Amino acid sequence: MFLGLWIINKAGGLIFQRDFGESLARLSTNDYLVLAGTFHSVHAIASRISPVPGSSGIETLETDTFTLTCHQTPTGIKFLVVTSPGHANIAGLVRQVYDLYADYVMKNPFYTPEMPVRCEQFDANLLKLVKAVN
Amino acid sequence: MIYSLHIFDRHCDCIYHGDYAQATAVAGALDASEQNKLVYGVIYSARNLVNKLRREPASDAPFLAFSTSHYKLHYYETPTSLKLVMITGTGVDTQAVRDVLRAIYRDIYVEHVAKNPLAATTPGPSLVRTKKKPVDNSVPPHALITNVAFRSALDQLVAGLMAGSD
Repeated sequence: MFLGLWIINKAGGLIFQRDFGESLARLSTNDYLVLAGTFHSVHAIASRISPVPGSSGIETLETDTFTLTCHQTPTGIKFLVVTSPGHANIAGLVRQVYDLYADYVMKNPFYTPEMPVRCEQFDANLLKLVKAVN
Repeated sequence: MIYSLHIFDRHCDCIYHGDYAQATAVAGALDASEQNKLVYGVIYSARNLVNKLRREPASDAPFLAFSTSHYKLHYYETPTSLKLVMITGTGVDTQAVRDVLRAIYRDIYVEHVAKNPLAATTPGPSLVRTKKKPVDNSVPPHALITNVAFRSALDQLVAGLMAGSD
């Protein structure tokens, strides 16, 4: 079950947030911004406390009701994909979300990188993906 | 592959820290107290993040573990706010380590520390409002575990686990 998607830009600001399904708590916009900032910092510190050199930041975060997978692109954008714990093929799902982002957000000439994502096509195709997965 | 184990009490002090596998020296290596503070910061933030996102208020600490490309950090919190953190290699099953942490708490901590009449225990929440003193890094925390039996039992358990996994 694909539960939610967050996109965080290079500076740690939340540029996209959508919940699918009812499993995650409904918070105010401000709360989401704060959580995204917190995650951005934790991601950075996680690579610092590593016992072996060259570690990346957090890639997966497991809890009892959901699993959060973070995919960081070489440009510093983080895609946080929230799924239910038993979800198979999370890597494939992340790949599909990234493909949608590349097609409908980055190729949109009116979209400024690192700014909040307001692209209808992206939303529509994301919903289609969610329906196909769930 | 188990790299290290930290135990934090309810006052955010690191009361035990054990290093196991040969962790190759990280360039710009942090000294022990800095490392402890960073680890605590990471688990505190991760825990709050997860608690905020859960729909029902969490009765049991929901944050279980997080993994990166090179290591996996496992977290177990007891109802008395004692936090056990174990850093292992990647690909280690979360539930298995959770059981190990629970066993460490139940069989080693409770046996050698909680049941020890001479052990310095973590002070409970203060009912009297006292002025907060600045953190003094040179003074070890009051509840630091110096119990030899605890340390040796833990070393034995970890050695057993590492040997079993090879």
